[in-house]
This record gives sequence, structure tokens and C-alpha cells, in this order.
Amino acid sequence: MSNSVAIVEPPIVVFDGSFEGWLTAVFAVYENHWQHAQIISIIAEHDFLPNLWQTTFVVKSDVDKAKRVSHKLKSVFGNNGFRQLLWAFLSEQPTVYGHLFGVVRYQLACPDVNVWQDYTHTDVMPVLKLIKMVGRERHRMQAFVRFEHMEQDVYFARVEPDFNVLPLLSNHFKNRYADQSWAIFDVKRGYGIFYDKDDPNAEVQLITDVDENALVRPHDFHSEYEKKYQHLWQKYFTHVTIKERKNPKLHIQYLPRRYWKYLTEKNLF
Amino acid sequence: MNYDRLKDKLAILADAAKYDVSCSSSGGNRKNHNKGLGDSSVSGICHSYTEDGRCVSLLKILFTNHCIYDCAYCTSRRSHDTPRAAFTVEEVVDLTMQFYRRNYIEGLFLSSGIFKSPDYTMERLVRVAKELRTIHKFNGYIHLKTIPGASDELMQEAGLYADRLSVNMEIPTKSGLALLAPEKNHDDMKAPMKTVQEQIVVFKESRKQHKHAPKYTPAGQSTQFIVGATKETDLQIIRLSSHFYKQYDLKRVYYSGYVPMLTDSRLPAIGTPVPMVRENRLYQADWLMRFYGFEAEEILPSDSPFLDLDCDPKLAWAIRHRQHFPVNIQTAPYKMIVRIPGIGTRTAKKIVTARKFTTLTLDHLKQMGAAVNRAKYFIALRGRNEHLVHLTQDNFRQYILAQTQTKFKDERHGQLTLF
Ligand code: SF4
Repeated sequence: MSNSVAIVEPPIVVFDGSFEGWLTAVFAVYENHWQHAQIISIIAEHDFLPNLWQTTFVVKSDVDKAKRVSHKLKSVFGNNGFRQLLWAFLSEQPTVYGHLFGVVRYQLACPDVNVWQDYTHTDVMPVLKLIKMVGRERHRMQAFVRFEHMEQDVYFARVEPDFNVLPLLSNHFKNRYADQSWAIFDVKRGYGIFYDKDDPNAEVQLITDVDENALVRPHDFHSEYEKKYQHLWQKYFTHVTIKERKNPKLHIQYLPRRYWKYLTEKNLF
Repeated sequence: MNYDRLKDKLAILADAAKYDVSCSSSGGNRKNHNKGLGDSSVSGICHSYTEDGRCVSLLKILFTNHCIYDCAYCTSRRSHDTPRAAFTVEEVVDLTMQFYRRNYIEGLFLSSGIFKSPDYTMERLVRVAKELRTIHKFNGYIHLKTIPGASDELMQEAGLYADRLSVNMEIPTKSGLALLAPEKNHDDMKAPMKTVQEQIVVFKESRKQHKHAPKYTPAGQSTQFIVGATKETDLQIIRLSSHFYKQYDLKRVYYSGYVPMLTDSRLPAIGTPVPMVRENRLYQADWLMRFYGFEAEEILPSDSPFLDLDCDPKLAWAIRHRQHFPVNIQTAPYKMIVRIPGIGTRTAKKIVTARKFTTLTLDHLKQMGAAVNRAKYFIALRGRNEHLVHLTQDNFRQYILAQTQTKFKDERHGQLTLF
């Protein structure tokens, strides 16, 4: 049916790093009949190191193709399973894009199997691990986000999650803080999510332009009582420890140091 | 609001509340239905951890630490020379709202010393909950400690606004309670549990008829035992917990290793170490009853009523019942798989599913999260398992403990999975 020549050794498929780009890459692999190869490498641009002896195939993100693939994937994986794929994708691990493809290929080849239950499969297992890690990071962000109340009546938080979990947080915070305007900004990745309590559609929006000063010195923008409540929280935090039971190792295990930077209770002033 | 005074009160009343170990915000499922503030997730969230490694999920405070009683084990007892304070209803409401808005907490855990009378005190606790729910549209988690001796009417009202109610038994034996808190007795303390349990049933019934009938303490009730303040045995504690789970449908029993902070000839001297390992073992025993299908009597034989401090109760059971092992992971029923040391409920479920696809190896078990260094002595595989030779040897117990020692050295507490 297709006029493309079957290539014995498929090239390395390079995409732009976006989820849409990855979906387009899956489209390209099937379009070119590369899916039967033992190993298919799908690599994000930013992880790709060109070398002399392998050919590359650069995929350009294509909304239509991405839609067709996601439609197909939703029908075989179900909405939940499709969301699982996205979670793993957001881990941003260089190896995930190939493993994800492996899971997709497995599911398309065996539509009656619940591939997620095949814990020992070479692609399912690493993907499940990443889903778990991303899930844990999402949970940690739900816990460790600390809002500061700003003059403009917005509750503002800065985060630097290990994985790109902001897209997975919108619903949680929207349900929780329906009656206040809030923003969470990923300082590492340079974007954030914003909810405006007066927006009639109550949609969470993406934001990329935030006042640099607010990121570096948020306390310059605090509303009148913000510092009082931060102090009260710090006071509370120091008084709930039972000093006869102090256990610094356990403390750090549960509250890893890399998160302290934005935790109000860990930044006594 | 006078913030400096508020800060002092908070210090005193958080200090006095911290020995209550219940911090859980789980089991709540209040949705944000009124575009108000908050929504509690079923699994609960720990927003921070104290320096002793305990979860901070709720703003846990006493309304006041004034008390007309004199329970020996309590820092708020009337004969203790300590700074006293009391919040106002508005202050507690404001702190809860403001902390919640900043994502510091999942909600409020409010307890209190008894000032004036049980009803006078309980009324205030109920008012806090009521104002949060009705005036401030707060949908976060609320846990109220019920005050022993408060009227049934107040208890009933409390359950309409709170997600969880608790009555702390504190001292597991009647004789211990008589010694340390002569003004109290077990039966009086159990009475409110019965009331709450009955209310839960009544409200469940009415919800069957009208879907919109209110819920009553949707996250159920819990209690706490202080461990090591009196001479109770672990078997007594476990039996009592089992009794509460079965008779009163309790959601959780908490165990709090006694921290000596008061000089009293009836109590362990100041400086006596907190029985942390024992407390941890009790939590493990509790898990065995709630999630692993163990009966209290299986966990401890009546001729040795204390839990083994060197080894967790599941491993101890397996060592005592070697005749049930090895368990074949390819074919054994789930209820035996979870009894294998080193395999928790999650891994057990995975095993039962994955074995339909593959013949499982030790490596697979490791990938699925089993502690293979323990499990390998107790399981039969399709292939040969050379670790099984130890199972029938006389020194099995010493051998296993020596092999897995480091695993048991950690003195963790509370919300852990150790199996
Ligand atoms: S009644 Fe409660 S607060 Fe009062 S002394 Fe006894 S345990 Fe402490």
C-alpha cells in the first residue's frame, strides 16, 4: 500500500521534545513501517547527540497527526491509560521516549492484553517506574507548594520540581482554591499556571511572563499581613517537634533538602 | 488581631497538643461544592515533617490547656506548673483559614483541656467547626477531639461538622487508668464512642433514603493509647485495639510512646527513653490486623505477651510457623502471599496479576518492590531456590536476623510500611 521502501535499520527518530512532537514521531514510525525493528530510538532534540554512523529522521510536530495518534491511543489504552503515558512522558528522562513507544507497540499488537499488568515486560516496567516517580513528585508538589499572599490579592508560589509536573497540578489546586486567585511558577522551566477567581470560565491558564523581581524577592510584594502568618506558621512548626524524639535522618528522608528553598517553615527569618 | 499575643498562644497550645500522634487527614472526601475554600483528598497529604520525622498535615492545637482534671500523664494537668493560654473561637478559625489558604495544612485537629465543664469546652470546639463550615465555606479536614463527659447533643452536633471524631482512651488498662487518672474511667470514655457509632449508622440509613441527607463524621472515629506509662502488655493493647476495630468500627487506633516530662512517682522517671521501637512494633501489629488478615491472637501467643523488639511481628510469626513455608508464589492464594516476610500488600497484588503472564523469578519480585533479602528464605519458585535450605535448620531464627539485621535497626514510627 505504501510506496516507502522498507528500511532494514531504521534511523534515529528525533522530535522537538513536546508531547505533540512525540505523538507525531509515533505516527512517522508507523507510516514508514519501522515499528517491526528490534529497537526503535525516539529521542528528544535536547538529548540528542549526533554521530557519524547513524542516520536520523527529524520529525516536525504536526497537530493533525498528533491528534490522530492520540485518538487511536485513547481508544486502545482508555483515557486513564493514555494519561499514564503522559505522566511518564513528563518525567523528561532521555530513555522514556523509546520505552513509551515500546508500550504503545505492545498494546497495538495485543489489543486484548492489559499491558500495564505485565510488570516484567522490558518496556512496561521502566515506564511504570517513571509513572510512579512522576506521581510521587506530583504528590510532593501538592504538599510542598507554599503560597505567599501578594499585594494584588494573588496567592503566589515558586517551585522547582524534579519532573515537569505542573500540568498535573491544575485540577488539584483549582478544586482546592476555588475562591482565591493563585499562581504556581516553575522557576526551573520558566512557566507557570494561574487561576483567576473572577474568571467566569474558571480555567487554569499557562503563564510565561512573570516579573523577575517577584521570582527573586517575593517579600517585596507581600500583602499587609503575609509576614505575620509566615511567622505564625514558623512558630507552629518549631513547637510541634518533640525534642526527645528528634531524628534528623528521618526528617531529611521525608523532607529532602532540595525542597527546603521554598518551604516557609524551613526559612526562618 | 494581636499577632504577638497570638504567636505566644500558638506556641503554648501547639506544644501541649503535640503528644497526640494522630495527624492523619485521610478518609475525608468533602468536595468543594460551594466554590468555597478547600477539598479534602481521600489519601490525605502531609505538608511538612517535624524534626522528629512526623507528618504535619493538620493544624494540631489545643483550644486551651487550662484543665480542671489532673491526669498524671498529661502536661495540661491542673497541678502542673506551666504557662496557660486559651484561644478565642475567632482566632482558631482565622489561623485555620489563613494556613489553609497558603497550603500549609489539610485542615484542623482541635483538642482541648477541660475548662469550667465538659459541655462548656465542647461547645467551643463545636462552634469553631460550625463557623468554619457555615460562615467561611471551609471544606478542608476537621478532626475534633471529643471531651469526655460532654452531652450527647453536643456530640451529635460535632459529627455534623467534623470529618473525624476521637476519644482518646490513653491508658490501655483499667487498673492503669485508675492509678494515673482516678477522676476518669474506661466505661465513661467508651460511652461517647458508642454514641458516635450509633449516629454513623443512623445517618447512613437516612442517606439510603435521601441522597442529600448530611454525612456524619465521614472519616469515622479514632482513639489513641499511650504506651509505656503503665505496666500494660502488648497483648493487652493489641486485644483492646482489635476489640475497638470490631465493636466500635474505629478507623484508626494510634499508639504514642510515653515521653517522660513530668515528675511523678507513679510514672517512669524523666530521662527514661521513649519506647520508640515498641511503639513501631505495635503499629506493625496493628497493620497486620487491618490489612493482612491476622487475628490479635495470631500475632502474640498468650504465653509471651510482648512483641519481639528484634524483629517485626510478621517475620516473628513466620519464624514461629515454619510449617506453612515455603509458599509457592506461582500458585499460592493471595492470603498466603501477603504472609511472606518481605512482601507487602501491594507487591502481593502485583504478584498475583503478573504470574499469569510469566514464571516469576527473584529478580521479578525485586522489581515489583519485594524485600527479596527476607522473602527469599520463605518462597518456592518454579526453579530451584538455594536459600530454602535454611528453613529447616535449628538456627533459622538467628540466621535470618543476622542476615536482615540492618533492616530492623531503623526506629521509624507511624505511617510506614515495613513488611
Ligand atoms: S482531662 Fe485531658 S487535658 Fe485534662 S489533664 Fe486529663 S488528659 Fe489532660
